[in-house]
Amino acid sequence: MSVSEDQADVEKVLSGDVAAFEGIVRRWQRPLINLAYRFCRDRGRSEEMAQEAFLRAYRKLTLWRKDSVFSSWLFALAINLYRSELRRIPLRTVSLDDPEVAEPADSRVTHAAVENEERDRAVQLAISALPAKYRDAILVYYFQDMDASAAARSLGLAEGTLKSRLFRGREMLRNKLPRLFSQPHLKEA
Amino acid sequence: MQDDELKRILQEEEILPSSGFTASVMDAVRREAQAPAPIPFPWARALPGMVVAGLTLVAVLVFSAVQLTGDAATTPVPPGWTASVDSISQTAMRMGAPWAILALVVSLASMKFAKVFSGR
Repeated sequence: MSVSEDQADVEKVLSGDVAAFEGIVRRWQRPLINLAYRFCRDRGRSEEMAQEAFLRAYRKLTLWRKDSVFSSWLFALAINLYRSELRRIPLRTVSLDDPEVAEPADSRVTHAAVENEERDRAVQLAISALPAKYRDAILVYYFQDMDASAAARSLGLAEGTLKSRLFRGREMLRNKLPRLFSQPHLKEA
Repeated sequence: MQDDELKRILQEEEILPSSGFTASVMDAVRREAQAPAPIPFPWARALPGMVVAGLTLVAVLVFSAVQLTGDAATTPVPPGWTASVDSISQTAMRMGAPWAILALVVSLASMKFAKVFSGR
């Protein structure tokens, strides 16, 4: 994805060529929808949230300062929107103390594929049940390919704050799912 | 569980945009582009009124404070000042200034709320 393509399209849109915005949508629809999906785990809703993010980006295009990368600006805007959307209409989540957020049954009596699926679901459920600031830090950090500085920029946090939230979030996950998070430990960001 | 394992779990389900997604976004963008620009708050007209209302409010508060303390020895106030404040505040009260101030504050608050709510 080219930085200059984004910049060229933004300039066209700002000079009145609304159709040029389609290039931006085509380049970024997949990441924005997938990011929304990480937050809401609902395909339909993730498209709605991504559409609203594009619309907001269109409205605020003049606010993009060209000294920052367009994608960082777009992600920051989308993440802000996704977080407020989740505050407005919360997910059906469970508490970390809920028995639903539990490790799968003993692997010796469970088929491997089913066990993997159950384990993944348990981890996803546990992450959704984290307090929002830890959940957001984890979701965005892993979405951004574990690039702490990019994730911190997208969340509008200092890198140190992001790292401490990641650490705390992982600790909470480790306490909830001790067997899955046993040795070897996650490396710190 | 390794860091990469957690990443895999979180990125396991890669979803593709539905076929009409781009068209749907562009429709919304075109509607947005065609919509008339939001009417800006008329600061130039409102500002003088707001300044007068603010000054009146200050005058009313000062007057009330003077009335409450009441002791000229502990709160020396120039003789002309008390009369002026008294006159201004009584005029303001007659003209319903407190209500005007309240209306302005409510208008500003609702405008701010609407902007925050609509994300503009």
